[in-house]
Amino acid sequence: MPRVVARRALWSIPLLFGVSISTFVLVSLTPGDPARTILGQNGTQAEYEALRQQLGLNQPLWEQYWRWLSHVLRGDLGTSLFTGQPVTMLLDGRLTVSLTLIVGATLLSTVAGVLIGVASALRGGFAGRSVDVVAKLGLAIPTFILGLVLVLAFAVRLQAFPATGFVPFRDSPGEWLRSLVLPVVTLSVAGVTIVAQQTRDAVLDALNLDFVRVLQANGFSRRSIVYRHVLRSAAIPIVSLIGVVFVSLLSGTVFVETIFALPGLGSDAVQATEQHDIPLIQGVALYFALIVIVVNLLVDLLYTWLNPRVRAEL
Amino acid sequence: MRRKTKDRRLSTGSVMLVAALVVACAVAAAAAAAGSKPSREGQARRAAAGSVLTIASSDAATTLNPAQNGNSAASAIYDELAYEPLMNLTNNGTITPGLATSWGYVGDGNTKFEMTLRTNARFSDGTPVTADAVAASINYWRGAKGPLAAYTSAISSVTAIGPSTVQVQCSTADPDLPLVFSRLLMAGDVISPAGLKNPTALQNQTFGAGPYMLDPSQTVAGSSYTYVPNPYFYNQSAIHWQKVVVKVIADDNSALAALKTGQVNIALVGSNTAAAAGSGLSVYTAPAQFEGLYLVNRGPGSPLAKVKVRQALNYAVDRTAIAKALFGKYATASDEVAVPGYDGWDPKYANHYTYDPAKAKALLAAAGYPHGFTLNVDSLNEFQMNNMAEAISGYLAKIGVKLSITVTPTIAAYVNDALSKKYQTVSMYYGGLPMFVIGQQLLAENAGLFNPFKSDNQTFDKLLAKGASLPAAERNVVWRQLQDTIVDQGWQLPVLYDDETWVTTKNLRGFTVGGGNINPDPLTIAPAS
Repeated sequence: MPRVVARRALWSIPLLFGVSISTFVLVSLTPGDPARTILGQNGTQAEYEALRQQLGLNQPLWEQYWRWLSHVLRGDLGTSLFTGQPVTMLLDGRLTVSLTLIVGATLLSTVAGVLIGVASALRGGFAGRSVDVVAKLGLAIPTFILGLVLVLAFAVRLQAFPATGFVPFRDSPGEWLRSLVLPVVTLSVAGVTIVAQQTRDAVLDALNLDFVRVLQANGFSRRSIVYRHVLRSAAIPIVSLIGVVFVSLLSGTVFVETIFALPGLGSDAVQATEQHDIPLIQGVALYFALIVIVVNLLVDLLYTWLNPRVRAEL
Repeated sequence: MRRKTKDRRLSTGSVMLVAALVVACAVAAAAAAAGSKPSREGQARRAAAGSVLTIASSDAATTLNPAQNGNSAASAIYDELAYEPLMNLTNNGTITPGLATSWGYVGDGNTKFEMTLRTNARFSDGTPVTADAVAASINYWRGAKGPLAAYTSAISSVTAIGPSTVQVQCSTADPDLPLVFSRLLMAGDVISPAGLKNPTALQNQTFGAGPYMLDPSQTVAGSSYTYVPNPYFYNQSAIHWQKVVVKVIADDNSALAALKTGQVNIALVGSNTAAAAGSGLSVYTAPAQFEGLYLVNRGPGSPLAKVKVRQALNYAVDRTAIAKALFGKYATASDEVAVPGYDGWDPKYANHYTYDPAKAKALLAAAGYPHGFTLNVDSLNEFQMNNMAEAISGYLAKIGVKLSITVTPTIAAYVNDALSKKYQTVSMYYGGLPMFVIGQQLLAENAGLFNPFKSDNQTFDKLLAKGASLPAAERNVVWRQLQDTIVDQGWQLPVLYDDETWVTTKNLRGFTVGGGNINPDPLTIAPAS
């Protein structure tokens, strides 16, 4: 286990470096001028140049990146070009919202996906084919459309959940839960279908293994065989998939946070990109990259624990 | 080998487990809901009782500094709640007292302007609004070089000539100073001396003399901004709410859903969304901006250099059909660069260039382009600008003029491309403003974004200079002449003016917008009961 952690930590350094450089280059190539956005269209050329100089935007790209990197190494992600507030202060609160959303969606995807997948594998026939069809539908429906439909049905028509907004847990646990139901369901639908399909395939494969027949011959109950043995064997690919699902949900937060007006990293990324607020964009990219690294590490650790062959190799 | 027989107990168990999970979630949510859910009726009652007014804005506040903020409906609200302007505006554009009780030009020529302040106004920190404070605020505004600073470019000095009298001296005539200091152009949003001492704090806090002030402890930047009453506001009876919350909801459909569920009371939405509001909500409209195409490359060699060509383009477009197709009942065909409610608007141009493709072709032929030509367009994927360009393209194609449209995804890219001089036309989207301002921003040689090729028209310059120095009644005559020239020469290709569409819940009164004031005055909005 410590070797896994150490290896992941080492690999994370060039990964973060690569993410920050590619984000910086991509943003720099995108048309847009923060000075013009701040001053409006009526400034003089001299005024734009003066502001660019003040913000350091007139320096060569590599100098701008190096200045940013040297601050990051000291724990300073810089300040927003527009609000002047520290990027860490702006993003820390939003990180909680996004993580709550993504973790909730991942949990729902996992639990519901596994249960549906197991049921489908065991029932077979029509149920199995239905899971395939529903899985494809779940992947085909755009997150944006699904979110709007859920809002219309459950918020506007049934008044069961709020249409927009996020309530912090400390303000009201009940309202916190209510404010998350629709966004989490919206975000998790695709994940449920992916996990269900993968679970079904993995369980079916595991049921064909010799040890299952041996267990049956030894009189073990079907429930015990499936939930104590087959699922553990099938869990290995499922765990790997859940890590991928978690990472894919990150991109889905952009849509979901916009639809439900949630103050998360995704909606912040949209605003920062529109404004060409480079420090904020870099900060968001860094936060997302760190989340991916941590999740992949946890997946690796879980995988190692589940798979005795991997443990033996370590 | 795959099992073919079904184990009903296990299958049933799995299904039951799933069902139990779903039921558990529903019960938990319902329990939470029963315990703490504020009903729509409850929200409405609280709002009606004067508790909380919630306004949805599509944009987060880039800054709370009024000198660096803009005056679009989405951004102005952040400042209007906290900064009382020197002059207010009614919904029909009439200028009324704000922090100033009287004002006027001194002598002829519209170069010297004086304002008398009310004596009982205070900032939110309790300090009085004095002439010195007002002068310092306006001078700061001029130096802050925000997006609206250009409207103060004619001002050369602002001084306090008495404890409550401010004098503004202009280097050139500026007839629109009352509007410049109103909530329309916001230079009169007075910032307290404490705020001016710490300009950085202006980005995240408010230092005004308005009815409300920002409560940073209840504010989440980029998400929701909470304002509480200013205990020092000079007209306490105009404060109807214990709290005003501005919630950032970027998506129109989400804003409409929030209105229908009572989460917000007011939202500015697109016309398509307003049309879907339904009978449970109220819709308010105000003519706000004109749209079409800026014909920017009128230089030698360009087809647009010829008047007949520009007139042909204007005859080729069916404005009524485009207005109806893009905006339904929330737009009106128009041939002029002006909006009802502002000086310079002339109702006779509702149908000056009648839709006449045959005449358009004849004009093109007479101008030496019998087979048409190609124009490129810098457009933007917002405010239906790209749809407008496509609609115009369809009509121009019938007379042989082909539009090659480039749609940029961001305003920054649109601006960059427009200034690059690579495009002969630019998608037009311009808000209602006084004619003097329109002249400077669209027609002047150094208009920048809207005249990147620096087209020069001496008639415009003469009329602008003449009108700027005249009193209002005489000035309007000159502005009509200016509009005549713009339209007659086909200087641009305006197609319509469309409305700002506000949607509110029905438990409010006093919400008004209109030509000349497209943003609602927070002072007039009160609970219905």
